[in-house]
Amino acid sequence: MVETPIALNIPPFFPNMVIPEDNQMTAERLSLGRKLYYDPILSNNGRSCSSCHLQEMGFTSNVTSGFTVLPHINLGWNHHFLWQGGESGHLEDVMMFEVNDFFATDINKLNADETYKALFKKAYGVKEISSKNVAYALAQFFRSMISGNSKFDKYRSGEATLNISEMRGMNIFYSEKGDCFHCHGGMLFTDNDFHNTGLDATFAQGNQGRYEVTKNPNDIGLYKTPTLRNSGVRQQYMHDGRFTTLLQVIDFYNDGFHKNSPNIDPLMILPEKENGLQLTAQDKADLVAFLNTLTDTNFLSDTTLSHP
Amino acid sequence: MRATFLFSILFLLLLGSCSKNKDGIGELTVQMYHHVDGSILNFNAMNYNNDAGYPYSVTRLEYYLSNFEFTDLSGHTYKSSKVFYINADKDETCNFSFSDIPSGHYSKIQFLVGLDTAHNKTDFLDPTVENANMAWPDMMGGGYHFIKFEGLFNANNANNGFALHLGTNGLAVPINIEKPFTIFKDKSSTLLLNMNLNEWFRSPEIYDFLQDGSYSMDNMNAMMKLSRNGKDLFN
Ligand code: HEC
Ligand code: HEC
Ligand SMILES: [Cu+2]
Repeated sequence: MVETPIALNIPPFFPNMVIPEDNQMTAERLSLGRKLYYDPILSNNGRSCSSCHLQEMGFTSNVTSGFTVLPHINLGWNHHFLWQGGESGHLEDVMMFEVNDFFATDINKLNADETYKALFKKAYGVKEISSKNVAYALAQFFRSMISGNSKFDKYRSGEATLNISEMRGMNIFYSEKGDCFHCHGGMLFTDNDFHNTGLDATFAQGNQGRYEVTKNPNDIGLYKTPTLRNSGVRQQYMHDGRFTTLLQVIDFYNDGFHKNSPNIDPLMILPEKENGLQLTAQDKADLVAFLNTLTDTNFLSDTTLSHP
Repeated sequence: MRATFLFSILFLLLLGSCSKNKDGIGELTVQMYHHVDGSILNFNAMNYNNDAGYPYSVTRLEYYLSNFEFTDLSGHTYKSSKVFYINADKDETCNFSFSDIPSGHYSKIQFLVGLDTAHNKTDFLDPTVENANMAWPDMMGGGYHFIKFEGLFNANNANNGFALHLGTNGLAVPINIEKPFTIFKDKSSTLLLNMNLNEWFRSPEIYDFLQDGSYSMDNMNAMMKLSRNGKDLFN
C-alpha cells in the first residue's frame, strides 16, 4: 500500500470538511476514484458516472430518469443525498448505494482487471476488490469536486467587483425582499435540508418527496435544497426539471407557488408576502445576474476533475 | 395534563453521590428541554396557542447559548466563554457540558440566548455547517442568527408562516435565573433548562404576528420586542 497524504484545497470561508477516519485522502485513492468515475466498467450497460454527470454542466446533465440529475458540487459537505434524501451520512454511504444498488456493479469484472487489481492494492492494500473499496475510492474523488472560485468568491475575497446589476441581485438574495439565503445560504448555497417550496398543490402517491424515505407525513412534498453554485449552466431546474431557465425559477418564487401545498415551508407563506415577492422585471434580471456570478469556470474545466 | 408530567421532572436532577463536597472540580451537563406552557414540543403539530390568540406549530428551532456564569452560595462566579449551538429537532445538540467547574453549591445561572458583540462577527465561530447555516448576511450587519424559531400560525382561517429570527448586536437575550445545583469533585451533575416557547409572545408585551410582524429579520421593532420578551424563557 502506498499512502501519499493529500490536503484538499478548501476555499476561503468554507466550512470544515469532515472526512471519515477510515478513508483519509491519499493521492492513490483519489486518482483511482477519478478513473472509476469515468469508467463504464462499473455498469452493465456501458454507462459511467460521467454519462449523466457532465463536468461542463457542473456534473449534471439533461438525461431524464424521473428525477433531474443532481450536480456533483461540494458534496463533501453534504450529509443528505438525493432529492428525497434516500441516503444520509457520509459520501461513502451514498457511494455504496450508487455502486451496489444503482449500478449493480459486477465486482468480478474489476477483479478480473489486472490494472484495477494493482491500483486497489496500492490504494487500499487489498488483494480482492470489494464494492466497499470502490465506493470509498469514488468518495475520495467526490471530496475533491470543490467549486469555490466563482466571481462571487473572488468578490468575497476582495479580488473582483460585481457590477450594479449583480450587486442589486445580491441584495435581493440576501435580504427579506427575495429571502433566498435562508435555504440557499452560506458558501455552499444550500442548507442541505429539505423543504416544500410549494411547487405543487398536491403530491401523488409514490411521488411525495422526503416522505417516501421517512414515511413521516410532515415530510410530504419536501425535497433537498440544491446548491445554486453553477446553477447558471444547468438547463433543467427542480427535482422534475419543470423549469428550463433561471428566470422561470424566479417567476415561480415571485408568484407561482401553491400556498396551500401540504407542509409548505413557513418562509414561503409569510403574511407580509401575501402577494408574492413583488419583484419587478429589473429585480428578476438582477437576481439572475447574481446567480450567474456563482458560475465557476475553473471548476467546470478543471483538468484534475476531467476524464483522466 | 402534559404540563403536570413535564413539571414533575423539571429543573434539577443530580446524579452523583451525596458525599460532602471537597475542593476540586466536577462536570456539569446541561440538558435542554423545549415546551409550550408545559406541553413538550412536538414539531409540525398545530397544537399550540399563544397569548395573542393564534394557534401555531413549530417547524424549526435553532439557537445559540453563550456566556454562562454560575454563582455559588459564597458569591464566587464560574464563567465560560463557550458558545453552544442547539437544534431542538436534533437530540444530540440538546445537551452540552462544562468539565471544569469548581465543586460547591451554586444558586444562580446567567447566560445569553445568542451571542455577545465579541462573538457576533461574520465567520467568527468554528466553520461548521451548522454555524454556516446560522450566518446573518453581511448586508444586514453580519454575525449570526441568535435564534431561528419558525412555524405556521392560523389567522383568518388560513395557515401563514412565521419566522422569528433574532440577531444583531445588543439584542441577545440575557437570562438570569435562580436555580440551585451542586457540583461534586470528580463527579458529573445534570441540570435541566426548559425553554417555554410561549414566553416569546408573552411579557412584558404581547407579541402579535399580524401586528408585530411574522418575519422579524430586518424588522428592528419586532426583534427588540422579542429580545425583551425573551427574559422569561427559562422560568
Ligand atoms: C442514468 C444517469 C445517471 C448515471 C449514469 C449516474 N447518475 Fe448519479 N444521479 C442521477 C440522477 C437522476 C440523480 C438524482 C436522483 C435522485 O435524487 O433520486 C443522481 C444523483 C446522484 C447523487 C446525489 C447528489 C446529491 O446532491 O445528493 C450522487 C452522489 C450521484 N448521483 C453519484 C453518482 C455516481 C457515483 C455514479 C456512477 C457510479 C452516478 N451517479 C451515475 C443520474 C445518474
Ligand atoms: C424555503 C426554502 C427555500 C427558499 C426560501 C428558496 N429556495 Fe430555492 N430551492 C429550495 C428547494 C427545496 C429547491 C428544490 C425544490 C424541488 O425541486 O422540489 C430549490 C430549488 C431552487 C433552484 C433550482 C436549482 C436546481 O438546480 O434545480 C433555484 C435556481 C433556486 N431554488 C433559487 C432560489 C432563489 C433565487 C430564491 C429566492 C428568491 C430561493 N431559491 C428561495 C428551497 C428554497
Ligand atoms: Cu433569518
